[in-house]
Amino acid sequence: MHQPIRDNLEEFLKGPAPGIPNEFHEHLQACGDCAQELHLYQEHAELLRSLHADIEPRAGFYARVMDRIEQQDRNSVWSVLLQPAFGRRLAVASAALVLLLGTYLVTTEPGEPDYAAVPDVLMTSAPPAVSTSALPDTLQQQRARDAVLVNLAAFRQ
Amino acid sequence: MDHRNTEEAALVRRVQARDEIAFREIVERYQAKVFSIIYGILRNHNDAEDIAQQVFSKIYFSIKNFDFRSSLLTWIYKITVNECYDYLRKKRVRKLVYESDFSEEDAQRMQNTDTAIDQAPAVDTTLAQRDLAVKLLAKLSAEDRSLLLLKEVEGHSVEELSQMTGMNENTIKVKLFRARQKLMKAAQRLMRGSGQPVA
Repeated sequence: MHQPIRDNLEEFLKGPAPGIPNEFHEHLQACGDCAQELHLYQEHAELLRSLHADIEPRAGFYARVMDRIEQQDRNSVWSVLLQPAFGRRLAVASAALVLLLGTYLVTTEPGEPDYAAVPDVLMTSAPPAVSTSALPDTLQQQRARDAVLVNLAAFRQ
Repeated sequence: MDHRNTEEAALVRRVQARDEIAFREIVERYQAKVFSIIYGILRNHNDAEDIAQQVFSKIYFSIKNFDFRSSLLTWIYKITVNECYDYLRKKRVRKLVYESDFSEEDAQRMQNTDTAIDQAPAVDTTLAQRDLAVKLLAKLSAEDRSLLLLKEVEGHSVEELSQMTGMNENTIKVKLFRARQKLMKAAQRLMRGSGQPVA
């Protein structure tokens, strides 16, 4: 399509337009290709105009729109869980958690309680006043400690 | 054109701030337009109502992303036309799924019936024209489709389209011309495919 026709195509397709320059009409008379192409564009414009409809929705349309919005809003809270990205993350996190728990259970298999460790704990958890005191041991303290040790020795046996 | 300092932009900002009165104003202002676009494409009142509701629901949820690069009408128009074509696509897919439940023989019989219907002279010429227009528009990009519909179906001028889209008039003319060329090529392909003489 040549320039004079192309420049005024939209004006021409709108319908009879007085503003279209003579150059357009002169070219159209001289150029068969442009005339043919222009005719097709006119036909297609008519075809598209067949889609025009003057129709309005029934009364209460706004209320129905708001109902739908509320419904979709409710759904969207749950649909987050069904979204592929979220679902993938959830699956990976679950798999990692299962792996961690499994590893923990395998490595910490319950065995015989180690009673031997108990006295050591008791020893280390002795009252701080005794171990941290800067004062020299009195005879009474020395005896008390000996008594504890004897008890422990007896418990082991 | 700056779409940020218009009365419409103020209305959009109110909706973005979740002002329901402002949203109601948008629905009431554009419902007839949206409805007539959908009805123009689908020619079914119930479908048009359903899709129009969906369009406004989409507007409600995505208006926070509206960036004022075009007018609100152009944006609503694009959503509407895209919803129509999504609906038509889903409908076609549904039809294919139902057909896959049939035996091969049933499917073949149905295909023959479809072909017979396609080749029979259209009882209602207007309906046939509309179907052809919808088929041809489906071959265009969303932008081309919107521009052509706004120009030919809604009757907007190039100047109005320029104001609505923020593009200059020459750009609009060039885009419209290219869209018309694509439409023509699509029509030629369709005619060739159906064995009818190319116009």
